[in-house]
Amino acid sequence: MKMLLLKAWTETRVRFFSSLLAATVVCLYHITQHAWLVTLWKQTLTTDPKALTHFPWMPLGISSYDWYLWHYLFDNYLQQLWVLFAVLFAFGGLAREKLNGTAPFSLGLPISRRRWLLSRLLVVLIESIALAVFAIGFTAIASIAIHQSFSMAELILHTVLMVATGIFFIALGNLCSALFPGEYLAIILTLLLFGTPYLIVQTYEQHMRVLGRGDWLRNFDLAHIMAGPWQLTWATLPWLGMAFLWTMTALLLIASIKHGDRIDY
Amino acid sequence: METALTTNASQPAPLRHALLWKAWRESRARFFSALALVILVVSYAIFISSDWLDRYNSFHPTEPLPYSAFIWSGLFNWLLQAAWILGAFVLGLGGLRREGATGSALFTLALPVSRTSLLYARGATAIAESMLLALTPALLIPLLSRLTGHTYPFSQAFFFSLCMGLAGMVFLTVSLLLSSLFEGEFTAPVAGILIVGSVFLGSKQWQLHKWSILDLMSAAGAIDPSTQYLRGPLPLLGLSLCTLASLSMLFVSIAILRRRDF
Repeated sequence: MKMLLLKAWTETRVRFFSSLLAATVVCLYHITQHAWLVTLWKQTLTTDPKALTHFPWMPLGISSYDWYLWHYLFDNYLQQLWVLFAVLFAFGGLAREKLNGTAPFSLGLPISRRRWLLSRLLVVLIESIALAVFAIGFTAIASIAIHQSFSMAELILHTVLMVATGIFFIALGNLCSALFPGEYLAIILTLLLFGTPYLIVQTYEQHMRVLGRGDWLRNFDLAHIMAGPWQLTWATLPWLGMAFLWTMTALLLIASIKHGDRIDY
Repeated sequence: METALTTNASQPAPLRHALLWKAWRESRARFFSALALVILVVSYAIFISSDWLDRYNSFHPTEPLPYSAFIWSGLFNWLLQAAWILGAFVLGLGGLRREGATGSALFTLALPVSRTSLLYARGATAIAESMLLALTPALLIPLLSRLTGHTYPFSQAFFFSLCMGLAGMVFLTVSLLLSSLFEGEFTAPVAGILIVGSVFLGSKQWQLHKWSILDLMSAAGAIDPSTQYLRGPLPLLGLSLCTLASLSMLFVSIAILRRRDF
């Protein structure tokens, strides 16, 4: 088992270290922008009388650093980055090895395909958790460095929600990598079929929430399920969305296992 | 036994065609996927435009947003730009280094052509594909706008698309360079994500904003602030610098490939 985990780690470690670098850049950028943005928002509120109508979230952004972190990291950029890398970590496996001609060596190992797949997914899950933990650790340290107080409990809860629901994207990435053929084609097809709707629905629904309107499309806003409301409690957790994503994750994993068992290498 | 080496230099054209054909075959699935992405993005933006503008203008009755401003800020300066960068980057991936990892490099190297010719053919194909990708919206935006009851001049769409394609060539050559450096299927894309992400965040920093390649791609410095139509001259200096940077990266890629032992 240890050797399988080591193999999966060796195959994905470049992606993992790149993700840490990307998370550092994203978190550092938004933390350093805080003071400048708050000054800008204060200025806008005093000079533009209509600002509060168009940007009702501004007073919250000025007064609450917790809201700022939630909005920029968990509801937008960190979440998008995490989803992108979770999908990229999940890419690989026997279907990709088949393209490189190394699949027979992996299949020659005295273990079942199912065990092989699950050990790889375990490494992907650990890497995804490590990426999220690293990002909030870095955010906490950088926030302390700029003398901002924040709720560590909120930060941890949002991270747990993001990872717990985001496992759907790991399962999706894994299935796409096995189903879509061709060099690099799997990446672009996955981004095309799932990444574009994910981003478009996220942006559209954020806009609708600012306007105070809701429509049927909000049920497909996976990004909002992953982010949750900015103040998380047992009552505000998106239970229905979580249940839906976990069911979908289970179905995708079953489909991956069945496909992996049947495919001829 | 005699072995015939097909190194006849008097037939360069068929060889060149064969290399271009090879590059096209290898990248066409990616090209059509990227094209689908661009068409999807443009169609989505145009078909929601009426509803979106009505809603926006009801909130800002004194400063209504013109359709042309919606097209520039929503497509050329945002969604379309992002989709094109992604498409162009993916088109530049692949090549000898990757073939080295999959075991097919020796077959390619056995062809009676230099490594430089191989990279030129791949580069030319990727440039042609990415320019086609950039110019598709020039045709699509005026046509779809007409279908939704709006008008958008072809000349405006064409020049914005041209600017996007020429300045954005840097992202394509970054991709070619990364493909010459890394052999893993996911290493070059991940390195590319880091670079493109850094460029995006860097361009949002006010200190670096005037150097933003994304603004150059959307010709942000040459537009009318109210209509967001192209009014001033095209940013020729910026476009020339981008072309120079692209050529430099192409030559560095060639130098790397020529020295590498497969």
